[in-house]
Amino acid sequence: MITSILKQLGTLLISLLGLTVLTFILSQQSDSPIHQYQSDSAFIQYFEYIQFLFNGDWGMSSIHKRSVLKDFLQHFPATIELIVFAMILAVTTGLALGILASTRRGGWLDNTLMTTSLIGYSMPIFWWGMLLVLLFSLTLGWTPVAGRISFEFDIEPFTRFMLIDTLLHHNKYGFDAFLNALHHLILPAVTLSTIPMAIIARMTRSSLLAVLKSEYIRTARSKGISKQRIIWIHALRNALQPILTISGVQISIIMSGVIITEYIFAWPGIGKWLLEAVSRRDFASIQGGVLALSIIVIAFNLVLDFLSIYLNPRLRRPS
Amino acid sequence: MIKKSNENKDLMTNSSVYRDVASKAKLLISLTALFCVACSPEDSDLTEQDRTQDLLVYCSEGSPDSFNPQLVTSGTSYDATANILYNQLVTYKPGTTEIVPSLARSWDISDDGLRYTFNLRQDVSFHTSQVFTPSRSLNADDVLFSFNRQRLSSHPYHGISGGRYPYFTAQSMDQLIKDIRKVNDHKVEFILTRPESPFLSILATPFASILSAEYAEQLNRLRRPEWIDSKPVGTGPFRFERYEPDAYIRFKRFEDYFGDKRRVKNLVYAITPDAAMRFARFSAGECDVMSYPLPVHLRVAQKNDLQVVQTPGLNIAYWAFNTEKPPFHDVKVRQALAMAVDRESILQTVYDRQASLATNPIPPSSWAYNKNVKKIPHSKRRALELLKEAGYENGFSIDIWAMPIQRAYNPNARKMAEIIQQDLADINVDVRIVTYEWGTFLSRVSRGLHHSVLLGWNADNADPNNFFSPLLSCASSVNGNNYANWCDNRFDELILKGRTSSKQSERKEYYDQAQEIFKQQAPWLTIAHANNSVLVQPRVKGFIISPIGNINFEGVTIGLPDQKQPRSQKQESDEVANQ
Amino acid sequence: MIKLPVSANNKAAWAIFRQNKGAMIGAVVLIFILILAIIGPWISPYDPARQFTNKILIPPIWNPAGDFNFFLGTDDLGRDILSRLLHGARLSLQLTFTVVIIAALSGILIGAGAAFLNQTLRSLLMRVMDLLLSFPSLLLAIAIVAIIGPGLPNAIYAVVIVLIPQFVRITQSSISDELNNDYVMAARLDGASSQRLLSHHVWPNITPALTVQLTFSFSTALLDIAALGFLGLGAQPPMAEWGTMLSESRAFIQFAPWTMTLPGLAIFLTVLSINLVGDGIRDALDPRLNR
Repeated sequence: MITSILKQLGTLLISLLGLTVLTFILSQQSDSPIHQYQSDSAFIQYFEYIQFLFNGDWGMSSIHKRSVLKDFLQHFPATIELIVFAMILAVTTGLALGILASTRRGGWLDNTLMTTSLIGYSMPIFWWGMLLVLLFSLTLGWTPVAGRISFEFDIEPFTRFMLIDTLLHHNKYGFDAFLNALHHLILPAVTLSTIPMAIIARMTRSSLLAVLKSEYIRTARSKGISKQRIIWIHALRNALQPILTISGVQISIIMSGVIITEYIFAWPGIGKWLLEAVSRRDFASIQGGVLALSIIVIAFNLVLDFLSIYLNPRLRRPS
Repeated sequence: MIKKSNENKDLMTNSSVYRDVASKAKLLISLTALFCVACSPEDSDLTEQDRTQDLLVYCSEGSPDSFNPQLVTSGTSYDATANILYNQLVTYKPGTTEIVPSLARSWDISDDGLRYTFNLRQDVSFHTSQVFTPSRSLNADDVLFSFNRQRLSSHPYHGISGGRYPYFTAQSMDQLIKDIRKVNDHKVEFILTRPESPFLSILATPFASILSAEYAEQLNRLRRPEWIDSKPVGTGPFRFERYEPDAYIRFKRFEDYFGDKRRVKNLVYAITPDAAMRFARFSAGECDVMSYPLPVHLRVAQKNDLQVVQTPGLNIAYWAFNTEKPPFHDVKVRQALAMAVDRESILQTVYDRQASLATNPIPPSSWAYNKNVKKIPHSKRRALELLKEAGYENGFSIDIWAMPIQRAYNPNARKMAEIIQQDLADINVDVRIVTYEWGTFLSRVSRGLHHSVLLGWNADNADPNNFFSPLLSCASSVNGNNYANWCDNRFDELILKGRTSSKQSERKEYYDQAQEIFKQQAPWLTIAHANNSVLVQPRVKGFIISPIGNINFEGVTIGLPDQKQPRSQKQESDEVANQ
Repeated sequence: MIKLPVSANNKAAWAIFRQNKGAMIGAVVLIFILILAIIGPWISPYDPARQFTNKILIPPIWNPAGDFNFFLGTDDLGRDILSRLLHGARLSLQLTFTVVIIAALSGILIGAGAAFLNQTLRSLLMRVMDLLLSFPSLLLAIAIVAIIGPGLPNAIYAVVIVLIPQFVRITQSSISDELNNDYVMAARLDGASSQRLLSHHVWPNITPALTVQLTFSFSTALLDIAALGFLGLGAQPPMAEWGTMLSESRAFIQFAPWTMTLPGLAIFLTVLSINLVGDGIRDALDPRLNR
């Protein structure tokens, strides 16, 4: 176990090194210098750069002259809110569909579900998002087009998580504001959750099928335990492992997806902020945004690795 | 498909009562479908009706660079500040180019045109904010503070927030204003170094907004001088409440405003840079006023009985040839290229006919417009002849830099460039279209790195000089917006005379000649004068757009939702396909 | 002697593939799209850049307001959408092919090299590859495009870099697995050279995994190129690239939906058919996963 943890830490170091070199190069592209370095040598400048990062000085955005770190932190909650909501949607629906399909293996329901999930998996989400907007927002008028909440609600940004902030304004608006915020979240979240949902459904189905075929489940069945119980207790627990493993891939899909989703729905999060920074070649913001987002991805993967080491006895044993 | 969406739009714009009920119901349906949250919205003190009643949402095109218009030059920043938070000594009568009193009740101009004396109103109060409660009303000190901060490098506030006052500098105000004197508490005198007939117009522009000297002192004591630009306090019809970068700006009605009492209680700028998204939000009823609609949006809006507020704009879209670079140093080449371009097709495709063909750099609504200047004919044959005379019969290749953003005067420079590209292919001129992000674009163009450029100009005051001096003078080719880098001494002399002489008839004479020279030398191909337009929901009353393009919400109210009337089912055919 | 079972495998695989309805439909659609992409420029009615200035935003012909000269309608500059889609098919597929081939070749080379490296170096290299794999592809592409500037060539480099690690990973792990197999051991003990080992023993056995990866890479590459075009970081207008066309159509989605639905549909159908074929190939080559 210790060796695998050491290995993980080694990976972490390599990734942080690679990452900061990348963002250092990014920060060097700027027309006006982002940091004032003492040294002329790029090598030493790199270490100065690291020092700046540790001191929380991530530079100032070139257009609006705002602190990059502060800008990031202001935009980040919107992104997290969208991701978390979309993931809840993807995991619950994906698992349910996967289980449903696996219990009716080969039947029409299984076939329909799997075809749908293949369609979802192949969907270019930039197109999908536009189709949803066209149908639900512009034609049917069921959902809002953009924004996080209607402006009739004057919500002071305490946490910048709109769902939390609206609840904090409960005495002013009751649950109206909260529901309104949820309403604004639905379409972006559905767009973002489509591909992960399809992957989770397919993964759940195939790993459940594999587990259901296995020896000990057959034994359990022969002992007369009901099929429902087997699926819920035994099979699912065993199938979660590969699903967890693939979550690492999920986070990268979600991160790519959230950039596009925010662009389509004018969602004021990191993705939109980063794209705007790219289009105005604001390297201070690009550098900061890429760095911060990557650290989050790396941290997420690290946690996931530890989790799977912890969950999987085979990996725990020293080999 | 389209018909369906029309009907829907009718419903949508028809009554907000319907919308309120329906949206609530749909919200619940869609929510319960997704979650099993068993909470229904509790009745709170405010009904939805109350909340929407006094709220006006303006879908704006970008984030302001600063809340102090002295520090910036972008129209987006001016729109969020100049007529919202602040006032100037004089202003334009809404919807016109006529100068009327504002903070100054009246004024006198000395006979030699060198002294301007302003009598200030005595009943003007400044906003109260979380950090500032004014103890006095506006007086001469505030006027002195606002101008001296920009004018005097020794001023304690001069260096705050970067210490650059681009508009003040670009208008050479530092050379023009010799001194500003406080005659008494409510009388100030501007002393100029030379006569400048556009001076009153200049004082009506955003950079001449008046800030509070008392607030500045208080911030100095708090050691937070930079808050003067980020936590703004002014005299304007609305006071600043909150700004979430890239999301929204919130303003509240300023109850003690000296001007028009009719205003909404809450004003929100919903920052939506993407024009398509803005229109989508507008047509879904999420905003009441939409800035910079694309021409194609206007057409759809007109078909759907949405209010299109429109006026011929004081602007110009042009294609500037960098006359310092070959082959554009040759006037024949410039003329040939100008002839080869089919501007009618640009008007049709890019502007959707929401503009007029430009012959002179100033629009026909200006009193200085020279009607006798002939428009350049569109003739590829003649263009080829000219190129041959200039020794370019085998053609050549050029770069066209197309501005990357949408402006009223140029809704899509990229498309414009593509059309020109096609036209020039016929005369063996190979076009490469170049574009950068806007900030980079401007800085590179200012450094003269471009070959030729598609740009435009929106006047910030109504004086014709506002076109000639900043865009075509020799001084502006060194340090300014003369992107043709064109310097013609005769022309320069004429526009200087036009600027300093005080008689309008004389000025007209000079400007007429200047326009003749301009046409003959062709440093630009003048393309179009676009209409300024804004889309407005029917419930918004009293919105007026200015020819200069500034946004103003003074006197704008939200009407009660129209009475539900049986609406005749309009059989509209596909509006898009029908033309 | 060793080739025989492989070709038998291939036959068996083809038999399995043929029975997979979805995969067959996918293959037919894909071939159709490929043919269109190849002959597109000849059958397209107009030049994709040609602007019919008085025929702006004409709907497709099944709409009553359609115009028979423009089968799928026109865009806001009066360009024929059918012609643009056909040229776009060639452009998009060409780009995808280039990207995938470059990525696969480099990935396989790096992976094969890695298989013969010593333990420490290999694990270091693999860690880096894992890192790149776990990195959001679009974020990486954005960082790359930010450094070298937007535009089609740069977007292509970005997508190539995003795709390489998967090939490295698969090649390396399959080669390592194979090298540890008994029969390879036996061959090695027999004195077979590394080269012979690779070409005769290892290569035939890792091709199935690579083939599957290759197919899925096509859909990833197509989507990524289109996404970059859509975000304005890849192909630039007036190029008839599908993602760029989609992005240009955003201004009119309410009143000219065909300018948005058609290029999107083209991307979607292509990706879907590639994925169907990919699924079919995987099931056929790896019978263990077969339903």
